[in-house]
Formats: sequence, C-alpha cells, structure tokens
Amino acid sequence: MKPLSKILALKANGWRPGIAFRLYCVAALSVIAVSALTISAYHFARMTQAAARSVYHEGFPGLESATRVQTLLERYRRIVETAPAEVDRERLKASERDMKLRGAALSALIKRLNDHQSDPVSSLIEQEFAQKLPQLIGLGEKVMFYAYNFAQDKALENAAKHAKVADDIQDLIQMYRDRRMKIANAAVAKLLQSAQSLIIWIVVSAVAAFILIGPLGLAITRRVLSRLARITDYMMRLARHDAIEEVPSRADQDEVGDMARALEVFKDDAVELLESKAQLESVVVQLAYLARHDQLTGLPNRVLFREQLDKTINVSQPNGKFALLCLDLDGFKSVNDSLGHPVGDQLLKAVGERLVKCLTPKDMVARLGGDEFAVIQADVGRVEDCDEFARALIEAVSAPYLIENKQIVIDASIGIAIAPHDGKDADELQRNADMAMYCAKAAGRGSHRFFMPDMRTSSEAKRSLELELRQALAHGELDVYYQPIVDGRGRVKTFEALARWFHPEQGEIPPSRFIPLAEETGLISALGEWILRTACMTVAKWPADMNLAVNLSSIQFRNGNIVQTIVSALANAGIAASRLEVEITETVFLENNANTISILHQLRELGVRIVMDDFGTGYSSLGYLRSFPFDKLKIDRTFVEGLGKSEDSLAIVRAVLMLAKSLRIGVVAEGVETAEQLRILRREECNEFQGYYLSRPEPAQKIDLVLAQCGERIRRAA
Amino acid sequence: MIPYQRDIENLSQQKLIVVPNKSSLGIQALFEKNAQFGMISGPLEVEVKSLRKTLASAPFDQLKEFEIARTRMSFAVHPDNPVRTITIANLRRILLGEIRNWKEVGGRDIAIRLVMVREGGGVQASVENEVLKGQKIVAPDPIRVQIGSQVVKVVMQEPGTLGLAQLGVVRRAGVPELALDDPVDQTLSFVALGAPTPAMQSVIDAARQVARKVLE
Repeated sequence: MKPLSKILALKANGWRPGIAFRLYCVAALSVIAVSALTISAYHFARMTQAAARSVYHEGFPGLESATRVQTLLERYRRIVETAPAEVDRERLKASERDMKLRGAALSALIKRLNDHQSDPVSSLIEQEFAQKLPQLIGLGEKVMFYAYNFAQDKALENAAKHAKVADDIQDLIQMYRDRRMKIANAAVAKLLQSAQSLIIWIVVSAVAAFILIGPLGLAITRRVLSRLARITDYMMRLARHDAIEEVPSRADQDEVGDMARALEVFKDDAVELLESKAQLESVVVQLAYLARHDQLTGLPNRVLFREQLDKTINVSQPNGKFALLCLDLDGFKSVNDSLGHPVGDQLLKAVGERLVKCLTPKDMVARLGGDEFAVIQADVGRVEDCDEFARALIEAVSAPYLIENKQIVIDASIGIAIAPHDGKDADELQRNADMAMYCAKAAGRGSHRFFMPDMRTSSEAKRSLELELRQALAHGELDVYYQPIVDGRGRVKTFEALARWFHPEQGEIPPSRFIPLAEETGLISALGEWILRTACMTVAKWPADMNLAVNLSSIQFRNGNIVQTIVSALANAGIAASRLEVEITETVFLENNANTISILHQLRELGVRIVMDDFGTGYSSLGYLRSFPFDKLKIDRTFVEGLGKSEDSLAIVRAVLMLAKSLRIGVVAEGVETAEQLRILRREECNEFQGYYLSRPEPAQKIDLVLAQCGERIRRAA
Repeated sequence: MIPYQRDIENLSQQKLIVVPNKSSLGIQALFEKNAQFGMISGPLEVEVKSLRKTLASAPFDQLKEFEIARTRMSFAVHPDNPVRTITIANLRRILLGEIRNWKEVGGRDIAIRLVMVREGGGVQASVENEVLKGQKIVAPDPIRVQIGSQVVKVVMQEPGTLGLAQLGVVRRAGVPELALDDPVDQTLSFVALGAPTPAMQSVIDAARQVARKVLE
C-alpha cells in the first residue's frame, strides 16, 4: 500500500495528523525540494559543463581556426592580387617573402586542422583545404613570378586563377565556419536550454522550499505556538491562582489538544492541591502558633518564651538590665482538684489575662506549664522597680476570682533573677529565678524573692543530699524504726514504721529533711517500697496480733502499682493483709481523687486498713471522709500539741472524736508528748495514742523494751 | 595631374577626387556617371574609336573636349643605357619591331623592350597617331602597365627597356630620355559629358592656369 493510501486509511479510522506529523511532512517535503534543487543544479551544471566544453574545445577553436585561415588567406590573397599591378621589384620581393610566410602559416594551420579530430563534415572540409592550398600557393608563386618580370597580363591571368582558387577556399572557410558555428550554436543552445531548465528547476524548487519553509511552516508553527502561548498563559494564571476557567484547545485533535486535556486533569488536581495547600498552610500557621503559644491562655509558651529570653539577652548585652520572674500559683492544685479541671483552666486563663494587664509593651509573660508562669520585665532601672512589679503581679493574681459562681482565692510565689547580674544566659537565669521562686514558696504563700547566691549554695547542698540519699538507699544505710500506737489500756496493737537515716558524716538526718527531698525527687517510691518490704519482714517475726502501719506518699499512688507492691510485700513476708495499716494524707486525694479512691478500695478489699493521717489540717478533710470509709483518723499533732494550752485545740480534738465516733471510725492522736496530753485525750475517749511520751521510734531490736515502757506510761498517765 | 591637384583646387575652389588611370577608363567613367571629367593624353577621336568597340551605345556625341595643355612625348631609358639620342625613323622601327637590340642604335647588346600603358592609354594613342601615322605598335614582348607613372618605374629597373610616357612624368621621375630629332607633341585635355557646369568650368580654367605655369 502506498503511503498516501495508508494515510487515507488511517484517517478513515479516525486518525488525525498531529503537529509532529505535519512538521515531519513539511521537513520531508523541504528536504525533497532542496534535494531536487541540488540534484537539478548538479545535473544542469554537468550539462552546462559539457556544452561549455564542446564550445570551448569544438566551437570556438574551430571558429578561431576558420577566422585565422580566413585572415591569412585574405592577406595572402591581397599580396598576390596586388602583385600584378606592382612594378617595384623591391616591393614585389618583399611581397613575395610575405606571401611565402603567409603560405607557410596557412599550410601549418591547415595541417593542424587536419591533425585535429573533428566531426566528419568538418574533416571533409579540412581535407578540401589541404587539397586546395598547394594549388593556391602554386598560383601565388606564378603571379609573383610574372609580376616580377613585369608580365602583368600573365600575372593578372594567374592572379585570376589564384582568385578563383582563393574563392573556393573562401567558400570552404565559410562552410567550415558555418559548420563550427553550427556546432558551437548547438552547444550554446544546449547551454541555454540547460540554463533555462535550471532556472525553472530552481524557481520551482525554491518556491516549493519557500512555501514549505516559509508560509506553510510558519503557519503551522504559528498555529502551534499561538495555542501553546494560550495554554502557557493559562498555566501562568493557574500558577498565580487567578480565576480558573476552561483550558483552551481541549477539542484539538493533536499534541496540543492532548496537552490541554492533560492540563485539564492537572488543573482539577491543582485546584484540589491549592485548596489542600491553603488548608495545610492554615494548619501550619496554626501549628506554628500552637508550637509557640499556650493553647489554654493564648500566652506564649515555653518555646517562644525561651526565644524571647535569648533575644532579650542578646539585645540587652552587655549593660542592659532586665528581670526574669518565675511565678508559681499557690493553691491552684486544690482548686483544680476540688472544683474540677474546667474551673482550673478558666482560672489559669484569668490569671494570664491579669498578668498581661500588668505588663508594659516591652514586657512579656508566658505560661511555662501547669500553674507556672514566667515574666520578662524589660528595662529594669532599679531593683525597687522590679520589687514593685513583683508585688503588683502578686496583688493582681491574689485578687478573688469569680468562676462559675464560685469565688476562688489563690496566691502566687515569685522568684526573680536580674540579668546580667544573676545570669549570663537563659539557662542560668531561669535556673536562678526558679531557685528564688522555690525560696519564695518555702517562705509562704504570696511572697517573692530575689535570687541570692546563697540560694544556689542551699540548692547545691540539697542536690548533694539527694545524691547521698540515693546512695544510702542503694547501700542500705537507711534503717526502719518503729513507733508504737498504744490503746487506752496500754496495749500496743500497732507499730508505725518510720525511716531513719544515719549519715556516716552528718550523723542522723531528720525525716523532715530527707522525706520532702525524697518526695521532690521521686525517690519516695523506692524509699516507701523499701520501708514497706523491710517492715513487713520485721513484723512477720512478731506476734500475730501485732500490726504494722506504713505511710504512703501521694507519689506512690500516682505510680499506679502500689497495690501490687503491697501484695508482693505481704506475700514475701508471709503476713496477713489485715495486719497492715496504710496511712495517707489529704494530698493523696489532691492528685487524682477517683484513682486514689479506687486504689484504696482495692486495698480495703485485700484487708488492709486505711488511716487518714494529719486529719484536720487539710482543705476539706471532712469531704474526704464522705468519699472513702476510713478505718481510722489520725488527729494532727498540731491539735494535740495545743491540748492543755488552748481551748480551741481541745474543741477541735473533741469534735474530731465525736465525728469519728458517729462514723464509727477509730481515732489515733499523734504527737502525744506529755502525760497531760495523754490524760486529756483519754478523758475525751480517744482510742489510741502515739508520741514521744509513750515511746520514740525505736529499732526492731528494742521492741520488747518499748512494749514494757508503753504500758508503764499509760498507767502513769491514768 | 595628382601633383597639381591642390593648386587646381585652390584656384577653382572645388574639391577634386583624382583617379589616375588610362584615358579610355576616364571616358568610360563619364558614361557611367562616376566622374565629371575624363582626362585624356591623346586625341579624343582615337579614344572614341577604340571605345565604340566595347561601348557601342554610349553617347559619344555628347563628349566635350577641353584642352588643358600642349606638351610632348617622352621616351625614357634606363640610366645605364648609353643611348640618349635617336632619330624618329629608328624610333619608328623600334616601335614596329624592326629594331630589337640597342646595339643597332649605338647601345649595348641588349634587347629592346617597350614599356607602355596597356591598351587605351593616351600616350600610346598619341605615339601611334603621331609617330606611326596610324600604325599599331608591334614591338615584341612589350611590358604593359596600368598607368603612366609605372612606365618610368619599370624603365628604372629594366636596362633594356624603352618607356613611352608623358614628359612631366618622366621628368618628375628623373629618368633619362631619348632626345628625338623631331619631338612628338601631345595634347592633354579634360573630357566632359555635355556642357560643363560653372563649377566644372572653374576647374577647367584652374587646370589650364596651373598647366600654363608648369609648362613655363
């Protein structure tokens, strides 16, 4: 099948020539046109060359020879034919010499013509030349002879013959010239024809090439480029997020149409992508905001605060002063636990708003986490300014809040570090401000403290003590002492296990120093477990009616495995759960009330008794009694201490005893240090007593002595 | 004629083209209207008689003769030829072929060859008319030339020749001539076809005037 037929068949099947096909066609046709031009130019050049060669080698030399023969003949003839009239012999002799020269030249030329290979007709003429020339020369010589001898008639007679022969030769020359001219003309005609054909070929090919490369090529290219330009413009508008409209050239059945249709698909994807991108950017902005802001209060968070702090340090270097105030809310946990997290959250927002109002435009406040805030006070001229600012913050925070119709009062403790004196970098400043804040907190609610170098010393000492406590726990340097809890008849039913730390260098370190440290550092879990297991093992050796009381920290409850730990300790020691009393303080409830109650119920189900320690000092002790059915209450030592001195203490103790009696809960009075206190308590019908008056905590080895001593003291008090 | 052409032109104020030739050819040119004048150096009737043989229908009756000058014949010889004088009788015998060697007239032993303008020349006609009294020159093997000036040229090259020419031509060539005991006159004339125009007349007058001066 021919290519054209193939194309027609394809077109019938719905195929449409694409841009590439058209351009290839134009290129192919252009190549054909240029090739035709080249081939024709070569062909006609060869023809021209052949014709020119013919003219050069055949025509012109022949004509030239004919002309030379003609010229020579005419000169020869003139010499001969003028001779008869000449009567000057000298001149005749000269003419004769000239005649002979011309004759020789003619002979040579004719000979050369004969030697040269010519066409048949020319050859015949040349042969005629060769035959006539001797005759001519002979007659010429005769004319000369007669003229020389003044025989003019004879000379004229021979001159006439000579003229006749010369005329014949002249005719031959004319024939020869005509023949040569004919050859030359034929060659030139061929040349002309070749040139004309070449011109036609050049014009046709050039026009074809011009049309293909020029108008047709340009038209195709322009059409493609203009459509591509429209698509490119569309793509640019799409990239600029301009109004999206229909993609141009979608209906075109070629590559541009394919591109447009593909672009249509991309456009839809791009629109979706743009929307997704916009959403993503919004999310990114939001995430960036959240990453640097506290979601609850909207204040800068720790990250942004740290950046600002670094920036402030850099900007204020080396002489600029500014203050870093670390603020911790006092009593926030109680609010959170008692009133719920939503209230706590609203309270934090309100605190944040109040703090913001205290700032100048250059200052900054951030919520670092929980109830911890930090403030950068810029441009601190005097320490007094900072002092006033801290007071103002505390005053603002301490003002009562009304949230969900509940009036809430909290305080704030503030630690202050002033740059650059109290720290060159952000870490140091923050550490020192924190240190000052802990000091302020230790000093009581609603106070503030400037960082002092000795705070660092104290802190370092505390850190050292922490290390030593870890070592002591690891190396068994701690000991468990047991303080008896005695009933009204002097019988010891229970021993409270208490940790004692005998430092190799510092001697005995009181529990008031290392227990808070253990709680603060988290060591309390390990320490509490160690006491529990040690005490259980000890009690297992005692009579079965002798019970054990251990204190559990709120941190141990937070860890979540306290029940398993107790079960494990009891199992290891081989004692019944009923012999164990667990003493907890109200702080246990402050952490996570529901979880705490759940754990307590699990312990109760095991048989473990639950005792509320330090009863009466908490925020809402009575509320806890309703939350969980305690087995015992331990009246706080502060109330016991006032017995005999303050009616209030007695009233409180009496109220607690009545409450316990009403609830059928046992009561233990701790901190009994005098017989008077014991007597009053017994009079008020308190069930059990504990305190130095009865016995100090003693090691297990001294239990027998303790038992004897307790009975004696009870009796003495009675 | 040619040596005096400029003078005639100056006098007549006419421009002339002179073709040196035999007398008969000049008359023939008149008939052919190729010339206004024919120049003859012999008697017109002799020329006419000769021409009638070839141009029978020519209007000979319209020919008008205008004598320009009267001179004499000259018989030139080679400078080496010792013969300088001859009688008219011997000359006649030479012309008739009776004397053929210069030895017979006192010269060296060398054959006599006549040199003369071919048939139709005015000098030959005058010689035949004046010397031979109408007889033809029959001397053997004569050398015939086209014009009179060639006669003296041939004589100068051939020792045995005897040239028949006008006196002026011979003298201008400086060729020796034979002195005759009875010189032979010769008339030089212009011949026109019909009456001359004023311009032609002025030329005739001028030629006569120049000839007179030359002959003086």
